[in-house]
Amino acid sequence: MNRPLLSIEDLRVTFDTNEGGLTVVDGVSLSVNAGEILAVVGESGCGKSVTALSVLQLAGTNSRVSGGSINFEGVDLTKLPADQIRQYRGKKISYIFQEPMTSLNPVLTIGEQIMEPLMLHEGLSRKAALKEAVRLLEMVNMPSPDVRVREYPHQLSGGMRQRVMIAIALSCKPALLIADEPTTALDVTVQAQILELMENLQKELQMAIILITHDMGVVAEFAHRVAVMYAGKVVEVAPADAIFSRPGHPYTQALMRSIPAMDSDVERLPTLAGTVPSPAAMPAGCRFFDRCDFGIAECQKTDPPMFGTGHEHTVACIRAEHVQCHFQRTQEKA
Amino acid sequence: MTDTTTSIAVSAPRASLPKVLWSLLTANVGVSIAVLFVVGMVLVAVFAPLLAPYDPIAQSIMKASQPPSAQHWLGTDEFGRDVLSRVIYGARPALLVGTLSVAFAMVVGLPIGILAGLHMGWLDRIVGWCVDIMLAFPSLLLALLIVTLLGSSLPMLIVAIGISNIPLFIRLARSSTLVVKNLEFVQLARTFGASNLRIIVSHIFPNIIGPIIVMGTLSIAGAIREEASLSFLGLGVLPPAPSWGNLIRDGIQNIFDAPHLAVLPGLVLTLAVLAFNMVGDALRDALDPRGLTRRRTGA
Amino acid sequence: MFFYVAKRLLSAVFIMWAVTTIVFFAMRTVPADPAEVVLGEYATPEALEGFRRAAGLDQPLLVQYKDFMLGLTQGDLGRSLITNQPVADQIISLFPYTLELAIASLLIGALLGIPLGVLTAVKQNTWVDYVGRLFALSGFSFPAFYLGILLLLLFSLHLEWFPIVHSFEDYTLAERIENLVLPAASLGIIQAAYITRLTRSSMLEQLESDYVRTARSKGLAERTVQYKHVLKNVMIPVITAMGLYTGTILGGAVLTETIFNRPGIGKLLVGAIAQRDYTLIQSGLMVFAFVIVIVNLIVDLSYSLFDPRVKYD
Repeated sequence: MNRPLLSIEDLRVTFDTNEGGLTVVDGVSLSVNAGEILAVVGESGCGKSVTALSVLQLAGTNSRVSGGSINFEGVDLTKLPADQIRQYRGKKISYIFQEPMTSLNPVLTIGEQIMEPLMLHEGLSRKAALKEAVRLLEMVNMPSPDVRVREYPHQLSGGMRQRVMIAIALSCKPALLIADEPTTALDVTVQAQILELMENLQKELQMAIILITHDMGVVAEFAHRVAVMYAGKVVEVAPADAIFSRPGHPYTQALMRSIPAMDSDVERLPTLAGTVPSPAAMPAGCRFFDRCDFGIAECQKTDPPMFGTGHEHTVACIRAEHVQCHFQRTQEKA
Repeated sequence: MTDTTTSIAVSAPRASLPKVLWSLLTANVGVSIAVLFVVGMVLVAVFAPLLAPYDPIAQSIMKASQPPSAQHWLGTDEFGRDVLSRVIYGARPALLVGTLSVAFAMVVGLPIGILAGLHMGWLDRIVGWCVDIMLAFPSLLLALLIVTLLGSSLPMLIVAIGISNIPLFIRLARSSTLVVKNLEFVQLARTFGASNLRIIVSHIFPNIIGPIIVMGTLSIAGAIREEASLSFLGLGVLPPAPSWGNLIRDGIQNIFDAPHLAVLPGLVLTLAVLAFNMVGDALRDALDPRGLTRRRTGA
Repeated sequence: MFFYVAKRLLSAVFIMWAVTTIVFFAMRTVPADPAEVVLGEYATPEALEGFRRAAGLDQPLLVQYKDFMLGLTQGDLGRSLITNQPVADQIISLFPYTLELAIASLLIGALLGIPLGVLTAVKQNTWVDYVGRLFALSGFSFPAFYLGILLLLLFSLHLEWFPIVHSFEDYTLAERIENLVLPAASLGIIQAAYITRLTRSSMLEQLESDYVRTARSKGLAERTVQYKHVLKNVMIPVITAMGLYTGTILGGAVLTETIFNRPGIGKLLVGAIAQRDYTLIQSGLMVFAFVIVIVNLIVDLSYSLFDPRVKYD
């Protein structure tokens, strides 16, 4: 419980493009403890997916880690060569992706796709792996698993495919599961089922989860801790309840305000003016300055470091406490 | 009113066409050489009378079948004609038939394709059907048939080879039209009463130019090869007029003593086709991001 | 499935009928007169007339057409205008040669092209890729007849590995294969070039797919990903293209048969076209259409081997 399971320290990831290097992840530090669910939220393009993929060197051949480290069980994963990183993939750390439709191979049976990591990492024979695959399908509440195991992905619905993905990911009982927007592409009713499934399995296997999402409702339901990312950086990390009650970063506040409360009479959802700065043209100071209600001249000078503002609560804003107070006052008024 | 809708860019804003072409063609050594070759070929064809040392069809029994020498760099053929001059002049039918047949195919195929794409329904089904049948057929045989029926004159050759390229342009135009037609702002323009013609001109054409250039270039490569094949079979450019194809045909007679008579024109022919293919490929990388020129099934 | 095949066969018959009819009428509405071609320009009007009557050319067009169609249903493809031999016999005896050439060249094309395509995709942007692509582009640019000539010069004349003059009567299997090598190679290399390019681009495209990312995230070795996961998906468009390409292959066979002096439908057809032998041309083209359609159907049906999503309805 003392040392975190996964510790990302000052990670920088750069993509090599025709126009030069684009640094999409710029000094991200995150950590996950064993058995905990960390939600990573932020809008599209903030670098959350790239950060997650970089853990196991899956971010694509034109990407490279240009700084920082990713420490897992005492090893820096960014320094491992290909054949060694493969030993972690699917075994110690697994992924679930957003699009179940295209994330499964259309020409192989789902049984085959579940069996692969079992045969590779656990050394099971085909027969044993097949049995285990059926058991895994049962575990993810797949109806008629022994029939389904021989079917192809196109014969299943979106929700069922995502269950298959979960079965694949959990087959070798990983210590950490990285789920990149696992329910975004699913129907609302199916979403709830999948999330509940994930929560139950997490408790059962005592697995840590990094849950990437932009759905604050999901965060409220399941996350233990939350990290908020913006424009390639982490802007706030806090326990889940603190994020909702005392957000310290103006961006986080804006996110909170945009969630309509059940009992309020909202005519218009508040929106944030402006757009995210592009990685090719990042400002020197705080990246959120242009859209911030609390910005002062000081903010434009340098990138704000993370300040502590409470129990395990850090915010990358020099006016964090002021922002928190302001939020609590507006909450009281409402 | 329609002006505001037509000003929206259809695809991601790209650099001006000439700039793209220039930067692409000078990026890669191989492509640059290919471009130079194509340009060279055009120049040779145009200035053939100035470049060729002798009259390509002038016969001379005394000079028959001489090996390469200082006066005749490639020697003479069995009729005493200077081979080098014949090879130089051979660029003319190759280029002429090659480009004009493709132009013919475009002029016929593109409008049909656009119409089919715009109207859909029965017209589209019939057109699609004809295209499938024509594409399934060996273009060489088709060209052979037409040439036999209508003669081997240059215009007929152009038509014969052109006809086999029509289906590809129909398909290209149709795909492009479908893509553009379904873009929302085009539908918007229509609600404002923009006529079909206007839509075609302002929206479909800019999108189609890139793939047309690519397909055109690659088709020229194929057309040059077809002209040579027909001439080789004796049904294309008829002797005594020189064409690389019929030079090879003549050269085969003496394949034992003078292999160069067949090999050299063939080499020039292959290099010409290769050059056009390379340029076409390079153009495709630059101008056809959606892969409309790829030969796939379906629209 | 059964209905699908039946439907396709029906459309095949329709296509053949369409092709034959078009050719039939096209040829007869054109000024060239087969009578003159066969008998020469010094033939007397009576001789010409007699020829036309014997060949049934003096009948009204539709009557000729009706007779022809009737004959078809009985398996009678008419008689060659030039040699007066029954067309059906000629075609049946020559067909196997063209077929074996087409199949052999297709095999060479696939066996050479697919591995090369995969290799250049996997080793993208290395020297292997550049050399492979150059080969593919050049192979693609050679006219089929020229490549045949070059191979003939190199292997038959200089190296003397293969005989120049082939015998096609009473030969052994070994001789048959020997006769087939160079012609099939000249066609096959060109096809290999085409298939290489196709396989390469299909492979590169597939390697960008989401399922490849999933496969990698499971810890599979890159080689396993490439061959077990990607290859099957790659084959789908490649096979489609090969099916569409049948027509061009057969067209190339025409030239190859001429160069290597092989008997075959191609050479037959070229001769018939030059001599305006209507009946022969018609039937020859019909056979071509038939082969193309059947091959397309086979390619279509073989999809189900590669793509489980394919349904026939």
